[in-house]
Formats: sequence, structure tokens, C-alpha cells
Amino acid sequence: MLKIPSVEPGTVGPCPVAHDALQGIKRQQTNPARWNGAGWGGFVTALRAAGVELAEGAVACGVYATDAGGTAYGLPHGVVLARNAEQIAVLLKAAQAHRVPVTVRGGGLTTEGESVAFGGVLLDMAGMSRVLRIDATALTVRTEAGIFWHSLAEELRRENLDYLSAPLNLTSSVGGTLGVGGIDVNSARLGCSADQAVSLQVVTPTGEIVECSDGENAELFQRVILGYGQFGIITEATLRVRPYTPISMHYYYYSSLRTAIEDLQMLDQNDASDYSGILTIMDCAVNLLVAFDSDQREAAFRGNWQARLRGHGEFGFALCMLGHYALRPWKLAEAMYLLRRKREVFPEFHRAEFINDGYMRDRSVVFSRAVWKHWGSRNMVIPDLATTAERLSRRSNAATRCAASISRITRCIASASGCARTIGRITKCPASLRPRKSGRMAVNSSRSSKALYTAAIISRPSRTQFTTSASIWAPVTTASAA
Amino acid sequence: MFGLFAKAPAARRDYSDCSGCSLCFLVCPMWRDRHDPSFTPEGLAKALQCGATASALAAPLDACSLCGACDPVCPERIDLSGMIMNLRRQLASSAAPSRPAVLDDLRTRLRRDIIAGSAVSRSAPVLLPGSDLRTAPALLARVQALLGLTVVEDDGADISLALEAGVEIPQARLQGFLASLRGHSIVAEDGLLLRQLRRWLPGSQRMGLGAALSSRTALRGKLGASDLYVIEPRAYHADHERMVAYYNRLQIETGCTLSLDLQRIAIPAVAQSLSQRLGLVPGDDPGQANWILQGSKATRIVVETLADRAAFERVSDLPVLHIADLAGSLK
Ligand SMILES: Cc1cc2nc3c(=O)[nH]c(=O)nc-3n(C[C@H](O)[C@H](O)[C@H](O)COP(=O)(O)OP(=O)(O)OC[C@H]3O[C@@H](n4cnc5c(N)ncnc54)[C@H](O)[C@@H]3O)c2cc1C
Repeated sequence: MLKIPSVEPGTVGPCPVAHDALQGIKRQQTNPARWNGAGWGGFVTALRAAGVELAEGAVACGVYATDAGGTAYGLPHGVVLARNAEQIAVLLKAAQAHRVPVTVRGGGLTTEGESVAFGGVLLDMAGMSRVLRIDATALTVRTEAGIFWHSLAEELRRENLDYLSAPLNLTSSVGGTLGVGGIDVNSARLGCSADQAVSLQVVTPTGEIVECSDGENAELFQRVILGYGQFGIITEATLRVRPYTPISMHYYYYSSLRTAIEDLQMLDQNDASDYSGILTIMDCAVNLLVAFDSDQREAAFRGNWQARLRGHGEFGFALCMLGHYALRPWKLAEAMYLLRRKREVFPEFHRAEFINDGYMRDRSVVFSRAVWKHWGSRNMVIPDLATTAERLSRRSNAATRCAASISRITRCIASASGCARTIGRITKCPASLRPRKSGRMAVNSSRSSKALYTAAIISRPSRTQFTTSASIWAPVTTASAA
Repeated sequence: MFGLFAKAPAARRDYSDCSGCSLCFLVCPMWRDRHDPSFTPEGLAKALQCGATASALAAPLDACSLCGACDPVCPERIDLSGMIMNLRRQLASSAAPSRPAVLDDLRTRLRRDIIAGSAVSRSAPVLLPGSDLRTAPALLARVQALLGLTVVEDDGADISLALEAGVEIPQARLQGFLASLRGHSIVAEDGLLLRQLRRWLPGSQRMGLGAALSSRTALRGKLGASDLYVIEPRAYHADHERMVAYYNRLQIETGCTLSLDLQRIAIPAVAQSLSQRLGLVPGDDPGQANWILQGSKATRIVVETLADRAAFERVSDLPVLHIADLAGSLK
């Protein structure tokens, strides 16, 4: 096993997102020591002799220097672009023989270096991105596992179909997400992304290519789902899909995170909406989004639940904020920050090209674009995982507190899905709030069995590591053109 | 027609700001074709961050079709196609032993005397037809009649090719070309040139040929729900914010399907590498046109460029019309 050296904890600099966030909080740098490269030459020769292409050097490896979190940096010795299961089997067998660590990478959207290679070979699953079969009758799709959910959506949409649930970021891969869980704004209803998996093709650490599902090699299936890549590499997946529907959106604004979360729980416990989630800017400015697949569901919500929500509409909230800050003139800077943020972020949710007849065409596109633009990459705030939920909740940052309260309520799904690491900015409704849902059950059973098996698998003799206006161009009239 | 002005583009960032989100992969034709991260704008930016030189990146630099789809999706607002054009300039200026003769010819053309400005009255709207449209005189005459524009003799086709290939444009040639356009409203067929004119003539009024034609009620009225309307990607992406709104309205008004993906990025029907564009290697890969057609229920294809017309005629039995041909007979 790789040894993780203790690193002098640094402190997080001023946060570009929220000026009161995480300042002075200690953070652990997650780099383990780099693999020393013993046996690399022999490995490369064996691989090339078997016809597997491997790229070396800074240009080829530089793309993989870090993940979306940017807290861990490391370069592999070489990169293999996944092409098919047989090639991966050859790679893993050679890695076993030469004791070379293998890191699997999908979209690389982990935030703590799980998809960063600290030496060894990096297997980039993106090379396996084809959709193999869409069965519109059985409502399933068979796809290579390196595909980004968004690319899958592009293909499904041509058949008027949609996936069930996927992370809101466009560039997480199917394999990477099945390996960590995946939460969407409909996960309270439809389960986590991994729940869509009907069957998988997996290359085991010893290089066997195995098809698995609940009925076939069930144990492997249950390990690999939410297995962080530790139990095998997912090369193909059969997923459940559903007919595509545009959705109708409602937004409610809260000045209290607690109230927003309580209302979210109320909606989910009563199955009152098809989609629900919370977007935070600060503790005192929280957006609860609620959405529907059908007019009937929306009408039922209006009739039964809407009046029970304590959030405001946009105008009412603006008035509320005006009153709040009028009484606290010394908080002018904060008020200005919120106003600026509102001006930047809100238009993203109402862009005309993503709305058709009042319905949002594609939730992932709208929210993912906003997430990357306003919460992702350089704006990323990552709560320190080493911190307990109790300590987290004492921090003033809305995102971290939300993450903490969610993780208190739903510790298992948040940690299993990697959600607690990444929801610093967008916090979706936790599936485990709803006891009837398969998402929670899958995570629970998977986690408990994994706890039993992890030690055994990691300490196997194998050295293979799976680190895991009406504007500008208004129609020209003949008269004006002439 | 040119009542409203284009805004000067906001300053964009450079490759060092790439954080590796991979959003550019999703819209990149090179990615679609190869699924290899080193053949993506992010791959290039990351390689540069690791100290790569232009010559180490020659293969992806050649493969890029400069469709510009990556620019509007980058959350860091990096000028990705600018980065690629810049790298191509570095590559072209390095003394490569096998420099294609076609680039030497282009250099000679760029050094020729400036073409005297034709007698276009000041401020009259002008049309830069580009090399493709000039090969179809009847269509050019129709376009001209429909838009009521004067065709300028010097349409900057050599400048556009130089931009594409990274060949340095002599200042005298460039300034002469721009001087002939100052004060005119411009309709250009060439999306790459249009993109650059946005920077070179920031206060000018410019429009792509496709948008200019489709905004004519006579043509727009002929579009319907059974049409697949194929947008020229370079002009569209170069001015994405406004074009996305424009074509959205077109879609709502006519009911046609657009060649846009879920992010409202135009899918190029033709994604030629630089070598293909220069005629050094053959290139009529049907992959992109087929992808646009996948799942489409359209019974007619309407295009904005002749290259797209040829691409769809190769892969489809459906009627393929240039937008200017929708008007029927012109009096
Ligand atoms: C801006 C941003 C927004 C996010 N939003 C959400 C969200 O809305 N919901 C949510 O649930 N998560 C979200 N995340 C987290 C991220 O989506 C998940 O971690 C994720 O789905 C990872 O997918 P990936 O393809 O990027 O996997 P990677 O990061 O590449 O890998 C994840 C793990 O799986 C392993 N792995 C990768 N591919 C395979 C494979 N084929 N077989 C086996 N193991 C594999 C890797 O080794 C690694 O351990 C977000 C992250 C960011 C940065």
C-alpha cells in the first residue's frame, strides 16, 4: 500500500466565493508519496509488446496533473487511453506482473486526488466513450463507461430519452460516477446515479473480463457499485433510462438555511416534487429549487404543498433583504456582495435558449453551466474532510454548514458518494431522507459489505492500486434592408 | 438592418487559467472523432502549462477545425481558438523543413499590392463573399439581390486563410483591407474572418451571411417545422451570446430544428483539419454531418454554406438547400 506521509497542514486563503468562508481553516494536503518507478521499464516493454499504446512525458501526462479539487498534484509515469476491455485486461495483468500501480480516471472530478496518479500508469477511461445500444422499448442503454453523462444525454435525447440521474457537472463519467454514487436533483425520488445500473462489464484487478449484475456475479456487482474503483474497472454499463420530459421549475428564496432544509425535507418526505435541491450563496441567501416532470404533479404541488413552503418569491425576498440590511447598515459590504452574486448567477437560470414554452429543456445543462461558472474550478471551496460534522457546523460558511447538516442526517450517502467533498456549492436533496428509496438501501448495503471486504482486498498480494435584443440581429424587414 | 451595434468583446483569459473542467471536450469535433484528451483545447492548454512548445503539439494543432465551439463554453473565458491560432502562428514561423508550397504561395499573395477600393459609397453595407461563394456566381448574385449589398472586390480571402494557417499577415495588407471596410456595415460569409473583424474593427456593424439571410422575412417565412436548419459554426460561436438569442427566435418563429447541441452550441457539419483545408490531404469525413442527422425527423436540410451543402448531399438523400435558394425565383 502507498504510504501517505503527514504533510504540514496549510491554511486556506481568502475565498473568492464568499468572503466569510473557511478563512484560516487548516486543510490537509492530500498528496501521498510518489511511487518510486521500480520496474517501470519492464512494464512498458511488456505493454508495448502486447500492442498497448502508452504515452509518456509531460505533454501527455500534464492533463492529469490534478483533479477538480486541485488540492492534490501528481504526475503518472505514463498514460494509457482506454480502448476496450481486452486492452485493459492486458494492462492490468502486466501491472500485476511488474507491480506497477494503476490509477483509473473518468472525468477526474474528484476533489481529493482520488483520480490523480502519484506515479505509475494512469488509465484514462475517456477513450471508451461510445454508446453501444439504445433499447427504447426496454428503456435501457448499453454504453462504454468512460462516457460523460452529458455525452450520453446528447445521444439519448436524439431518441427522446433521458438518463435517470447524474451529477450536475456535465463532465463526470458513467464509470466514475457508478464508482462513487452520484446525486442529482431528482435523487430523492429516483435514487442515486448508481441505482440506474442494471449490469456492468468489469475488468477485475487480475485482468478477467466479467459481466455482473444483481443476478450474475452479484457480489462483484455490489462491490463495484460505489466501490471507488477499488474492486475492478467498469468498462461497460447497461443503465435504465426513461422518456425525456422538459421540466417546470419553481424557485423559493430563504434567509435561513435551516428553514430551507426543513422545507426541502418536508417536500421529499411527502413525495411532493420530482426534483428538489438547495443552492446556497450565504447562510442568509438560500435558494430552494423545486421542479416537476408533469403538469399533474405540479398541480398537486400547488394544491397541497406550495402554501406550506416558507420561502419567498424573488421580489418578496428582495424586500426582505432590503429590510434586513436597512437595519444593519454596517453589513453593507455583505449586501453588495449578495447583490453582485444575484446579478451574476440568477440570469443563468432564466436563459431563454434553455427554456421552451416555460419549461426547462435540460436541467443538467442549466445547473452545470452555472455550477462551473460560479461555484466550480477556481471558485471551488472544499470543506476539510478531516473535520467532524460538529466542528463543520460551527463554521459560518453556508455551504460547509449545509454540507455538515446534510452529512449528519445522511452521513452514509454523503460520504459514499463523495458528495460531502463536493457539495460546497450545490447541495442536492439527500436520497436517504426518504426511507423507501433504493438509493439509500444500495449505499447502505454496499457500504456495510464493503467495510468487511475492503481490508481483505487492499491487502491482497496484488500491488495494483486503484486510486482511486430582440436585440442585435432583429429580423430585417425588406424595407430596412433595401 | 444594421441598427444595432455589436459590443466590443470583453477581455478573455489565456491558457494558464485552464482549470481542467473538460467542458470544451463536450463540444469539440476532435474529441468526438478521437476521444483523446490531447486532441482538445484543454489538452493543449494543459500541455502548455507543462511547458510544451508549439511543435510538440503539431498534430492536435493541425487537427483543429477552428469551429470556435470551445470559446463560449469555457467557464474561465479563455480565448481557446485564439490560443490555437496563436500556436499555429508559432508553428508556421518556425523553420519547419517540410513547409507546404501552398503556404509560400499564400505569403506571396499577401505581399501583393493592395487592391484599390472599389467604388463603394461610404457607409453602404458591403458583402464579403469569401472564396466558396465566389465559386458559385449564380448563388452569389442571388445573395446580393436578396440582401441588397455591394460585393467588395477585396473580400480578405487570403487574410482568412492566413489566419487559419498561422501565416503572418503583413501590416500593409491588413491595414489596407481594414481601411476599405471602415465605415461600412459588413456581411461576411467567412466566419473566421468575421470573428477577427470583431477584434480589428470593434465599432463596426458585422453579421454572418447565414444570419443576414435568415433574418429576411422572405426567406424566414419559407422555413418550417420539417426543416433541419444547419448553422455555420464559426460566425455563430464568435458572437455566441447574441447569435444564440437570434437563432432561438428563429426556431420559435419557424418551428425548424437547429443543428445545435443541448448546450446550444452549433455542431459543425464539416470539421476539416488545417491540412485538409489546405488541400494537402483528402478530407470528407461524414462523421459530423451524420451526427447532426442522427435521430432527425426533418424532411429537408437548409444550410448557410456551400461546404455544408456538399457535406449533407454526400450523406443524405434529403433535399439540401442553401438558405438563399429558399426564396424561389427572384424578379
Ligand atoms: C463542479 C463539480 C460539481 C459536482 N457536482 C456533483 C453533483 O451534482 N452530484 C454528485 O454526485 N457529484 C458531484 N460532483 C462530484 C463528481 O461528480 C463525482 O465525484 C463524480 O461523479 C466523479 O465522476 P468522474 O467521472 O469525474 O470520476 P473520477 O473523478 O475520474 O473518479 C472517481 C473515482 O472512481 C474511479 N473510477 C473512475 N472511472 C472508473 C471506472 N470506469 N471504473 C471504476 N472506477 C473508476 C477513480 O479511480 C476514482 O476513485 C461534482 C464535482 C465537481 C468538481
